[in-house]
Amino acid sequence: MRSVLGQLGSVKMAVAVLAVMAGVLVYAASLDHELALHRVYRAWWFSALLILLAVNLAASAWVRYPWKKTQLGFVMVHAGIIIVLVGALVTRWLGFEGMEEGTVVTDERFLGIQPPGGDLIWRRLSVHRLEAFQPESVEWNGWKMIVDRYIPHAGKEERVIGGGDRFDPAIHFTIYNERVSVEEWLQPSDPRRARMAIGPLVVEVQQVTPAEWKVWKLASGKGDNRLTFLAAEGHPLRCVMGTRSGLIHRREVKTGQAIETPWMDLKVQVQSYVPNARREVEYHALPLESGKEGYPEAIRLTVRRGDQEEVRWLDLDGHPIQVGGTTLWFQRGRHPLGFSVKLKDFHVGKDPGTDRPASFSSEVEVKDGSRGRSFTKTISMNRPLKYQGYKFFQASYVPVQPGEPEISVLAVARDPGIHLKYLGSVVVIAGLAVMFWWKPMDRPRTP
Amino acid sequence: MNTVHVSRVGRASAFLAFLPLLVEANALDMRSLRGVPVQAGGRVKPLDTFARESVRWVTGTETFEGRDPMDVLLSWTAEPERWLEKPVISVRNLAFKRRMGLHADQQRYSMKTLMSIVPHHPWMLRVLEKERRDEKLNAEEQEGTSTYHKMLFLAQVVGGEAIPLVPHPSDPRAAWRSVQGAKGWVGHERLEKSWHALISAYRKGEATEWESAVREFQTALAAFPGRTDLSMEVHYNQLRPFRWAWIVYLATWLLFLLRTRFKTSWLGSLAFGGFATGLALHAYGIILRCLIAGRPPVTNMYESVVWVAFGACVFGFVFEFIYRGPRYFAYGALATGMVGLILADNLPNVLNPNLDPLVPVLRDNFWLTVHVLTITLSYSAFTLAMGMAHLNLWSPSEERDRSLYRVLQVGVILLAAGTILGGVWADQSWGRFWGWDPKETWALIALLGYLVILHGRKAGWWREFGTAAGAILAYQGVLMAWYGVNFVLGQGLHSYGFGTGGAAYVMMYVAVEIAFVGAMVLRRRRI
Repeated sequence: MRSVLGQLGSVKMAVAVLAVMAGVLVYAASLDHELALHRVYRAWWFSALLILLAVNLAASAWVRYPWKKTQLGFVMVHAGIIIVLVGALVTRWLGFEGMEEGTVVTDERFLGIQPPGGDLIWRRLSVHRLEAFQPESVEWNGWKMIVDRYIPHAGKEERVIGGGDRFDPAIHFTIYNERVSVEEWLQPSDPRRARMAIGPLVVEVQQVTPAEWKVWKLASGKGDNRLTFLAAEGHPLRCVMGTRSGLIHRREVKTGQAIETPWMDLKVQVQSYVPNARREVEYHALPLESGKEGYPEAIRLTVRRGDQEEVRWLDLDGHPIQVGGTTLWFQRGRHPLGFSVKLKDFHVGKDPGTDRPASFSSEVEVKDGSRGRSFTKTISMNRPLKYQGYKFFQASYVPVQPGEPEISVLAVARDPGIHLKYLGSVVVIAGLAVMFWWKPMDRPRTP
Repeated sequence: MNTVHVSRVGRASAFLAFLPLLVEANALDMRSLRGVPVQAGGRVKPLDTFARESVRWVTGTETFEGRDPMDVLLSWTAEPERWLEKPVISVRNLAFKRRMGLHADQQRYSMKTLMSIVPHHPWMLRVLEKERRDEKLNAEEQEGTSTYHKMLFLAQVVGGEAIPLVPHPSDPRAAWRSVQGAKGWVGHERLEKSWHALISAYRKGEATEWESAVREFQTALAAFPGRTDLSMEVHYNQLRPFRWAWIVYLATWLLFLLRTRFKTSWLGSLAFGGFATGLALHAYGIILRCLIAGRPPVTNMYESVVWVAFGACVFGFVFEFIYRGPRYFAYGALATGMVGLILADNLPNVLNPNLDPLVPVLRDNFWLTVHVLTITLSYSAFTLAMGMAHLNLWSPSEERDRSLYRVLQVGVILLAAGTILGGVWADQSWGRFWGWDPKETWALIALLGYLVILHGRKAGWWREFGTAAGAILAYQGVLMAWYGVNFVLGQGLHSYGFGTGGAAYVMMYVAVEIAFVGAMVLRRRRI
C-alpha cells in the first residue's frame, strides 16, 4: 500500500501528470472555445485527469508525513490545490449552463413524452451539436422511437398540404396590384401564420362556427383596414372586408378568382383553400458556424408502435408534435428558478466627448413568490446581484435607435463549488507566502 | 522649410534621439501652448499629447522629419500647401498597398496620391460600410479604414477643425469643439480672431509676434470653463523617463562588463549607482503615468512591457543585494530591462503608448489590480530567468544555476498566486472562477511548464543545463499567454489589451530561441 502511494505521490508521477495536462491544454487552446469545452474541459477523462492530479498531490504530501517545519508551505499549497480541484469538480457536476424566463437551462437534450391524460415523462438523449451523430432509440410503453437523423444547425422550410385528419383550414393566396404582389399561406391554428400585415392592410383567416360564418361582425369595427377570410367546417370560404371609414364588403370566394378590394386597386386571389391542412416541415443541414445562436437543432424521429411506423421532425424547444394522440417534445434540460428578475431601468455613462460607454448599470426588480419577497437593486459593472446562490452580472448592452430604450444584457451564474475554490485559493496563496518567506530568504542551497 | 525646423541628428542615431527636443530653443517657443487642454479620445489631455498622438498615428513616428510634433501639427494647420504633396501618411499593410496600386516600397504617401485613389475605390467603400456596421475587419481592411481616417483627419486639421480645444461655455458634459466648430458660443469671436492671429504668426515665424499671439489666444481661451492643470503630463511627455532609463541601463550594463575586466571597487559602486538611477527614472515614469491616468500601471501592452521590464530590474537589483553574487542577476536584469524599454520606446505601432480610457469592466476594481500586477510581476521574473538562462547555457556554473533556480521559484510563486487571484477577479466580474478562456488556459500552460521544470529537477531528470534550457523554452508559453493571446489569437474575454502587429518579430524571436537552445544542446553533446 505504502509503495503504491509512493508511486502515486512520486515526483516522477507529478512531472508526468503536469506534462500531460500541459499538452492537453495546448491542444484544447488550439480548438474553438465551445468545441474545446465539449471535447476536453467537460469530457469525463479530463475530470479523471484532474482527479489523478489531486491524488498525486495528496499522496505526495501523505508519504512525506510527519512533515518538517520547512515543509509547511509545500503541504499547504498541495492541500489548497486539492480543495480548488474539488471545488471545480463540484461546479462541473452541479453547475448550470444558462437561463431562460424563470428556468435554468442545461446543455442536455431531452425527449418529452406525454400520453393523452397521462404525465409528461422526460428521456435524456445523447445527441450533441459538436459530436458526430449516432442513431439512438427510446423505448416507451411498447413504442420504439428512433432518432435516426440529427441536424445541429438546421434550415427549416414549412409547406402546407392537405389530407389532415381534422378540420384545420389553410389558405394560399396572392394579393396584388400593378406594383406589388404578395403570396402567402395563412393558417389560423398557427399563431405565426394567423394574420399578416401588408402595408396598412391586415389580412387574416378566422376559423369560425357555421353560425358566425353567416353573420360575421368585424371585431374592431371602424378604424381598421382588414380583410378577413372566414373558414367554417362544411361551408365554402367567405371573405369580409372592412375599411377605415366603416364600409363593409362580403364576398364568396372561389379558388382562382380575383376579387376587387377597396384599397389601392389591390386584388385578392385565393390559389387554394385546404380545409383539412397539415404542415409538413423539411429540414436541411446548414454549415455549422460556432458561436451563432438561434438556428434550430432538429431530430428526425421514426416512431414504431405495433406494425405502424411514422417519421416526424422535431426542432429544439419548438412546437411539440402529436403521434397517435401522444405528444412529443424535443427540449433542453430545464429546472425552475423559483423567482423572477425584471429590468426596470438602464443607464449608460459615457467618456467625455465620446459615445464610448464608461459605465453601465441596470435597475432590476426581483420577485420571489415562494418566499414572499420582492425588492429592487442596481446591478453595475463588477457589482452583481446575488440571490439564492445565483449571481446576476451586468455583461453588456445593446444600443438601439435613438429614442428607444436600450437592451441591457445580464449574465447569470451559479457556482456551487465557489466556497471551496475561495478556501483553496486562500490556502494556496498562504502556502506560497510561507514558501516565499521560508525559502528564498535563506542563502540558496544546492537543491 | 519652416524656421521651426530642427536638427536631424535625432534620426541619425538612436542614442541621440532625444536631442531635437533640447535644441528647440532657437525655434518658436511652444512651451506655453503645450499645456492647453484638448478633449479627445475620451479624456482631456494637453495639446502636446494630442500633437504627439496625432503625428504618431498619421506618420508612424512621433518626431516626423526630426521635428517637434507640436510644430508638425501647427504646420499642418497653418500651411497646408506645404504638405499636400509630401509623403506623410504612413501605410504599412502590403496587401492594401497592392490593392490600391501604391508603390510597395514606400512607407508613406502624400495626401494628393491617396486622395486620387482611396476615397473612390469600390473596395474601400465596401470596407467603410463594414466598419460602420461594426463588423470584424481583417488586417488589410483595418489598414484601409485607418488610412481613410488619417486622410480625413489631415483634411480636418487643414480646415482647423480637428483640434477640439473649446469647452462648452455652460454644459460641462457637452463635447468640446474646435475653434471653427464653436461658432455661436459665447466668447467665440475673440477666440477665432486670436486663433487666426496665431496661425498667421506661425506662418511668418517671427518670435515676438508669435509670443504675443500665443498670449492673446490663451487669454481668449481662458474665458471658457474647463481649465485644468496638465503640466504633469507635459512634463512626462518632455522628460521621456523611459528613454532615459534604458540609456542609463545600457551604460550601467557596460560598466558591469568593464568591471569584470578591471576589478576596481569604484567601478562597481558606480555601476550600482547607475542601476539605482535607471530604476529611479523607470519608477518615476511609471508613477507619473499612474498619476496622470489615475489608474494602475498595467492596462495595455505598452504598459505591461514597461512594467515587466521594471519588475525584472527590481528583482535583479534586490537579488544582487541579497546574494552579492557575481552580478548574474544584474546582467540579466539590465539586459531584459533595456530590451523591454527599447521596444516600448521604438515600436509605437505595436505598443501604443497612448493613455486611453479603459473599458468599463476594468475600472475601479481592486482584485483586477492585484491580479494583473502579480501576473505581470511573474512575467518579470520569467523574463529575467530567460535572460539569465542564456548565460547559463553558454557557460554553466553552479552559482549561476542556483541564481536561476531562485528566480524561477519567485516566478512560479507569483504566477500561481496571480492566476488564482485572476480566478477571484473573474468570479467577481464575470461570475465564474475559471472558464477556460484562452488567456486563462495559456497562463495555466505556462505555469505547468515551469512546474514541470522545477519538479523534473527534483525527480533528478535534469540538472543545470536542463533547467536553463527549460527556462528559455517555457518562456515561450509566457509569451503566448502575454502577447500571443492578445495579438495572435485575438479572442476571448480578455479582449481589452488586444492589438495587431509585431507577430513577425515575435515569431523570429521564438525561432532564434529554439535554434539557440538546439545549438547549445549540440555543443554540449560534442564536449
